[in-house]
Amino acid sequence: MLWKGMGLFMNTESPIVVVLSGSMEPAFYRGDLLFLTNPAHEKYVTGDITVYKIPGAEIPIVHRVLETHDLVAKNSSRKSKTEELVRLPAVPQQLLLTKGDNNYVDDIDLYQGLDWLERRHIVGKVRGFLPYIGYVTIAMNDFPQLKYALLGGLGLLALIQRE
Amino acid sequence: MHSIYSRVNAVSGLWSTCLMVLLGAIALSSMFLSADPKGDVSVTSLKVFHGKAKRYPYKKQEFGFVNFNITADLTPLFNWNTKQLFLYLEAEYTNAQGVKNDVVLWDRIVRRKEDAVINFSGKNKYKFRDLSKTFKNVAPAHYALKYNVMPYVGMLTYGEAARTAEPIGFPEAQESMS
Repeated sequence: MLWKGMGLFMNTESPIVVVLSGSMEPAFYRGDLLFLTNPAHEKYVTGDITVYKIPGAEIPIVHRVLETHDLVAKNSSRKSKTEELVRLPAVPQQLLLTKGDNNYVDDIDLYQGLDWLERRHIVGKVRGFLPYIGYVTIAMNDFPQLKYALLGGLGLLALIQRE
Repeated sequence: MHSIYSRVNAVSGLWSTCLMVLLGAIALSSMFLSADPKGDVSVTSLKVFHGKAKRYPYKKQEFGFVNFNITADLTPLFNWNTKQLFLYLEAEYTNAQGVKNDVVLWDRIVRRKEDAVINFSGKNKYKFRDLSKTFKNVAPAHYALKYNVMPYVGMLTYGEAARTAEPIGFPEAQESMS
């Protein structure tokens, strides 16, 4: 509930993410916790660190924006139709290119055939940073024994304790 | 009641509360330790060459080649909660379609205060190209040195350290040398 509320407030599907790879080192290491926002009417600018998810890719990627190219606003018939229903302010249309600080080349090969990243692929912009806290989740995935040991330990405690 | 388990629980609870309060205090403190250092950026030469796109070798497009000088003293940005600076030089221009474009040409990570005095002259690290594949009719571009202060804990902050005084126009494209 709190999670969804935060997500609604920040306009992003996951307001907190754990860094899973080392491609942003030395800024972010594996296990660092990032706090995201995704202001709907704000443009992304170069230097912003974005979290994006390409359709078809499982894991969201945390990389920095290298290029932004605004697009000319389209005046298609579809737009006028939606304007009749609700007068929503238009989400700025942009094409983005990103790169990991620790990578030598930009991310174009990660885009699975796309030439540019679009706004709809972006989960959010990194605003805040808390080191290492998320490493627990990574450790549990990397060493499943740890997960079972933890579960077993908790179960054992529940059996022993009589309160 | 006073089992080992409850004692461990109490101590670790206290510990993690203290840690969180301390981290929060550090994150808050760096909001008041702000600095706004200024430097200087100048473009010494700008050339445009025809080239081939990486992904589509049969497509021709134009690439910009920028030589520039940067001088800046960014040591005031280093406070006790500064993990590193991410410095980047970007070109800002309005293309022939009349919309804004920003392209990062060069970047550097500064991890120590001793390295925060920047004195660099060189050329662009990343490709400089436009969506329309040409710089013809593109308005003169501004070049700006910006930074991102990355803390040990807390909020990320951004700033601009320098900007070219006059926008620099794009020259006519030349044939590639190779």
